[in-house]
Amino acid sequence: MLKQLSLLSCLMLCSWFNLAQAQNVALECQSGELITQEFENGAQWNICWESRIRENLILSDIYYTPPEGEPSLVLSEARLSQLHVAYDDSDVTYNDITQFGLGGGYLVDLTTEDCPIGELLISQTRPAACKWLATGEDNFRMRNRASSAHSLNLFSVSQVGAYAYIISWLFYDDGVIEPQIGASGALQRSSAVLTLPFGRVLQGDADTLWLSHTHNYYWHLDFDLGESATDDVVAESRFEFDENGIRQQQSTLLTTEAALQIDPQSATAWHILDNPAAGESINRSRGYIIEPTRYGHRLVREETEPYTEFDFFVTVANDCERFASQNARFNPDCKNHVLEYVDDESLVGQDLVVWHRVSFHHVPRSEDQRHMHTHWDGFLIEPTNIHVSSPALNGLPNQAPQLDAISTQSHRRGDSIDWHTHASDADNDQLAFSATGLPNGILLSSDGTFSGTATEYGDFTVVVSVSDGIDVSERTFDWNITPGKRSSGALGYSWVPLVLLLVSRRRGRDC
Amino acid sequence: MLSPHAAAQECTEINHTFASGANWQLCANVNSEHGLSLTDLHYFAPGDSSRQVLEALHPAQIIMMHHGKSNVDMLLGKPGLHKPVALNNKTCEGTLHTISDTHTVCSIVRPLPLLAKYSSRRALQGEAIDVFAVSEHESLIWRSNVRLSEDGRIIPSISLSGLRPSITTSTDGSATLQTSWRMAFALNGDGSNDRVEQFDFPLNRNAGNRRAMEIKAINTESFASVQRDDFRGWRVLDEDGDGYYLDPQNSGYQMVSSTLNWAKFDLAITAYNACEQLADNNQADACDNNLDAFISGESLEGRAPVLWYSQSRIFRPRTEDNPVMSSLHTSFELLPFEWTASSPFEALE
Ligand SMILES: [Cu+2]
Repeated sequence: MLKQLSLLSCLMLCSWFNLAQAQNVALECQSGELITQEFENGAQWNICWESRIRENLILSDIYYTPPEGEPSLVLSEARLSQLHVAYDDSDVTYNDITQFGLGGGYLVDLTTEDCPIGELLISQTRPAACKWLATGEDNFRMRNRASSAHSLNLFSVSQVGAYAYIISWLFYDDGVIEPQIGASGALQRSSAVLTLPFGRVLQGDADTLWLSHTHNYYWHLDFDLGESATDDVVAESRFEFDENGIRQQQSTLLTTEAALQIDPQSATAWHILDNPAAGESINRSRGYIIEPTRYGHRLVREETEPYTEFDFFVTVANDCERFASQNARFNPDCKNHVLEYVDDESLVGQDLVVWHRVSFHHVPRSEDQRHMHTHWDGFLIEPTNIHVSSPALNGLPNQAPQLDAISTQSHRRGDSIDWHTHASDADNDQLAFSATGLPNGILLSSDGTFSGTATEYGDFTVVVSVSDGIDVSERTFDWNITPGKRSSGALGYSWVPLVLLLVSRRRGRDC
Repeated sequence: MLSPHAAAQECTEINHTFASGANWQLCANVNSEHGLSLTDLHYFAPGDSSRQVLEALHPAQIIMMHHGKSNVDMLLGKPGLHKPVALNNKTCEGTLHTISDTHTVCSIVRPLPLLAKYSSRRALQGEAIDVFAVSEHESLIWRSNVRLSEDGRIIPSISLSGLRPSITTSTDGSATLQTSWRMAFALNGDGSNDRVEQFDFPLNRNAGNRRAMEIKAINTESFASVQRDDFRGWRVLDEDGDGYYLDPQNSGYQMVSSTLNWAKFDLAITAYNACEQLADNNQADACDNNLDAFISGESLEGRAPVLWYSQSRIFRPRTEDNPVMSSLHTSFELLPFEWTASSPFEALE
């Protein structure tokens, strides 16, 4: 008898997971143009995009469909909300989005040379963006299988002064979203005072000191997970050591608007969750996580730009609150910056927006001259419990291990046992053996070796399983142990194994 | 027992020239102690000559601290602690380099779109070559990769995957990961005249929030930490000023450990010692066990500098990791810094 049980199907049936409710994906965009991308593993993204005069790329109605799942809204809007550049001499600070803008006259018309393996996208007659399919890092890896992360990449270029900013969004086939920005072009500010300690003199230009500076990128993400825009919650996760030196997670649900800092020692991360059940662990809730991985520098200037003290903000959605800084320039009746937006409003039952900042300190080097290489910054928005199982496996199904047939075994009680079962696995995965129904005294090691000495006799039905960690194969065989040698004087205890046998046979697989 | 250093000699040469004429040349091997092992890395910028950057580059330790337990697992160490995983055409989409049955290295050329862009000037589309090997320890499988870009950047990374670690009653399965790399410099072929500088940019709140740059020579073996508010980076340069810069931009979390002192630091700088291969669990005879012992106040004067850089992340199990872990990734960048007098692509325009 050969039987294969799939842990995967078991998980699908037995887990607490609720399948996403089917929703109507926008087939027409309220504003902008629709992009639809389906991947080989069955995952799909639907995104509306447009280029606006201030922020350039604005994405809206971002729906993700997991492989074999239903489409579900992730973000109702996503965009940059400021591009703040502070020079080390503190003499000049730019707020590029509000002082200049990234769209309109600052938008660079793209050519096929900018987009050689993709498709140019038109916004109001201009080739404003490029869409292409990218292959990235490992998605997962097993001994004999691996997949690279595939993504839909959408980018647009804005030329602000000497800088060319590449505003880029990646949507992966495993549900990850990666907002990115690339800084290229040329260095912007210099000084003729070569002795200033705020920059460097580069080769071939002995009369110019190029000034160091920090680019601070602020993103504005209006999460609206699932069906309702007002049932999302944000939780902060930290890992702290207890008195026994054991690291434990602590999570805090945010109930009022908050300005938060990353604590690198506590491994701060933020979960955006779709209507979690009361008391449900944030680790089991459906949603997305932002784990800061680019935090080598963070620009703080409390007196002049108090909002720079924080890395992550959660506010109630408000059309009045558009830019992370200098907001009042365009919205005179509104507050001026993101820290002012955090004003104790309750987040409960509200439509939430998160703002995230990443800093890049740029020390000029001679290699920056003329062709300044693109310096990429960004972060990951990763799904948590959005899929029933590893989404990358959908394209690469597992091949179950195969157990060799096992003939009926006959031994005498007291015989020393030492023989092997054998299994093969087409994926060359690591295999682990286990058995139920063995006579007392005999063990099966995880590498498939039976050993020991039977301390009882009778007819046993043994079920051997081999698992590659994903799928399990089983075989059943009979093992007859005759009384033979008797061990150390015990009498008539063959009743006990009979009872055990019944128990072990009734034990089903549970999840 | 074959010493890891003797084994390092039977490496496979990788020599890749990009369309621009830029070239990377190195020797790759799989080492029984640390897995991927790259030696003699040379970069050729268009219009320049081929010049050595590093003598050696390899993973120096991978730590998994399973929460709910106080001990830490080290995945690298004496031969047998981890096993090299032989690559094949399913797991290497590029060129497979076979050193022995189990010792394989993969190299693959990847596009680097928009390597540079300026206004309406056409974008420069670049490429990079990835060189990687795969190892396993129990159910974990990881790829150690070094990306060598056409413009001279060196980007080491580790992607941890495999079967998801089991969840028991005492733990939710979460874990702290730390990855460390060893970089033995030999700028322009001779490491003994290379120096290490620390760049600091302290914020002066009393002087209008200015940041005056301070350059400090690191003359003795020492540990260093990222300064997130005050900004810091490290430059390695030879006597002519040619060098590389380690900008800790990609530093996210700070490893916290009550038992491992060295692991709390982002960077360690030591004088070259061939038997100091791993940041911890270093098994070589007649050699110390970890960075805490390697760093003994020795002078770096006249010695090739070795940089050890560490990064930390958290593994948080989700249904997406079941049954196979979505890769957990760390990476950082070594940036050419005054290696050429201008962008390596200046000559091409
Ligand atoms: Cu810059």
